[in-house]
Amino acid sequence: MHKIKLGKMELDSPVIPASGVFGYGDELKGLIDYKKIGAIVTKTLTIKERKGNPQPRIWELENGLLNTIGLQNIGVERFCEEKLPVIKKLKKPVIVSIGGETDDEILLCLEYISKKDIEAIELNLSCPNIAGRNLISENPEATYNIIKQARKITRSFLIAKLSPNVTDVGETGSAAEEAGTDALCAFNTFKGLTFDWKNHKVILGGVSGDAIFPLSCRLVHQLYQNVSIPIIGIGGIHSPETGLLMILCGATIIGIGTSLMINPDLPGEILNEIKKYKKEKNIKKWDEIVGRKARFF
Amino acid sequence: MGNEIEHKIVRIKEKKIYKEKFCFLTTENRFLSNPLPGQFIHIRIESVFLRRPFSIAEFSSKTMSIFFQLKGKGTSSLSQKNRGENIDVIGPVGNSFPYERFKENILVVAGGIGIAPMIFLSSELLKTKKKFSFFHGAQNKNSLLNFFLPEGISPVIISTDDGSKGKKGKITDILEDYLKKEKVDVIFASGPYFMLKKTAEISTRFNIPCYVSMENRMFCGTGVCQGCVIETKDGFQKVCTDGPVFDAEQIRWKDIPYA
Ligand SMILES: Cc1cc2nc3c(=O)[nH]c(=O)nc-3n(C[C@H](O)[C@H](O)[C@H](O)COP(=O)(O)OP(=O)(O)OC[C@H]3O[C@@H](n4cnc5c(N)ncnc54)[C@H](O)[C@@H]3O)c2cc1C
Ligand SMILES: Cc1cc2nc3c(=O)[nH]c(=O)nc-3n(C[C@H](O)[C@H](O)[C@H](O)COP(=O)(O)O)c2cc1C
Repeated sequence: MHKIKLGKMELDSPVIPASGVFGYGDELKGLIDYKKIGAIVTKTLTIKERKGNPQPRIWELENGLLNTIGLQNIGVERFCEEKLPVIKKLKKPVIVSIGGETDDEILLCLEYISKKDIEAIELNLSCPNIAGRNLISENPEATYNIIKQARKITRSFLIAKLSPNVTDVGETGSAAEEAGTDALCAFNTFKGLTFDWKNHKVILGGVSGDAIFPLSCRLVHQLYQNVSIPIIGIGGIHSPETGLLMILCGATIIGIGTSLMINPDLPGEILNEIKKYKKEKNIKKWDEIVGRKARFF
Repeated sequence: MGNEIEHKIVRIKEKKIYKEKFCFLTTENRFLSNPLPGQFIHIRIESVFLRRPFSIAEFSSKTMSIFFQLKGKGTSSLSQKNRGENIDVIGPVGNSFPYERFKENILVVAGGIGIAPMIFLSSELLKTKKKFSFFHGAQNKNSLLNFFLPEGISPVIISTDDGSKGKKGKITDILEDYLKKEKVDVIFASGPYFMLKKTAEISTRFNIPCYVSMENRMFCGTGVCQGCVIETKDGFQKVCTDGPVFDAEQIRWKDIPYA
């Protein structure tokens, strides 16, 4: 259908799952049509197994979700032993997301995973659910530094996943680009708050889903005008139109998180919308559609 | 487990509302593999953002039913759907009650709307000719829900908190008295948190294996998001796909906030 080039990868589709709603890659085989997604994206893995945050972790909002999962995962080693061989068989590019509480943890994890045969590594520099630190990608200098170090460790295709909680995404995006990342993933969840009325407690977490689409799409639009590397646009995509719009605003490929669980058919529906648009506007090449509505003329 | 999670649009074949508080909804069954007793479906309801989980209460080659209590916005809108309308379901999800291992002296305990998966379980127990007793408890006679049970279960022991029908008292008190007198090989329980917790305590005291169907807030309902985990002796386990049925001994009851 639409073969999209991302580094050396050739994606069958510009739609991919977002990290954290796709498990370790093969759990949803009966549910999601893997032909309609361009790659497999894993839950963020850390050097050691993480237990994650206490219950409850899921807070339903009017038009979205606030989560406080806290990166529960089985650790990168177990992933490579138990899961990687299984997902390799699915014949899709594999994007492994990695993270950690400190730069060192992230880099250790990177060292480990970069020795494996995978197509791309996503550095999660933006999870709002790990306590006691500012997010790396909230600070351009910290973003630059970790990517610079990561670049020394690996020549694999590197994606930096950014936080939307900054004054100027152009600045963090440019810092990541300058330090040598191959692509940007924009964005992780927005920091948000809800209230537990039963226990009268404030709950802090990451907001995703429909409600954040106008926010993240605007930031992708802005980012596109500041960087020249590919952007994976993520945040609140929930319909064929919002999927297409994210691409028109600058995303080379798009990721779906929350809505994939609400509507597992969404990737196919978005592909149809893109096809229709391309035909209507007589678009032949993918480059012509990406950022079409975000360019300076 | 064997059966894969599927995504289907199914037509509503029948709807019955009881006492303005409970709804029995039957749809066509389009799953490729047969659900097991204890498994649930995850339903999309337009008026609320997240899908809602409901145990499979009845199942045949042509139909599938759920039985639910009207709690909030989601269940209220679902109960307003009519025959002929479609609903969007994901399923069957989760594990099942391990009934195959037992032959007789099985005790099924259902508190309130917790009876839903136990209707399906009872049908399977009857089909496989296992010997079991069925306990059902509710607050009062108006909230008893045993009228959907398949025929042929014996005995069905009813209790109400206020004694308006059946034995008077909490279902767990009746259970305790029963265990003092009768031989029981296994307990399968479903119902509110406190009832399950108490049932677990009693089963430990009497040294009887006990399996409970747990609930939690859920997002994906497919095992990928880690949202619905509960504390067990093996660490966090997902209610959706590691459960919903757990060995009661495995659960760290005091660490589970009830919602
Ligand atoms: C595996 C499984 C199987 C189930 N099977 C059945 C079944 O067969 N029959 C049945 O009747 N029910 C069943 N349930 C429960 C059912 O899913 C819920 O009753 C239903 O989701 C309620 O949805 P609602 O929109 O009507 O209520 P909501 O308005 O969503 O409220 C649901 C509950 O969520 C909690 N909650 C939500 N937000 C907050 C907040 N901000 N602060 C504090 N508390 C909050 C509250 O305790 C509230 O009672 C099952 C649940 C699970 C997990
Ligand atoms: C339950 C849940 C878990 C998530 N876990 C991760 C994660 O492990 N790593 C990560 O980079 N992003 C994680 N995210 C963020 C998503 O990948 C995505 O960036 C965000 O949810 C916004 O997209 P959406 O609105 O389409 O969900 C998670 C999101 C949710 C809802």
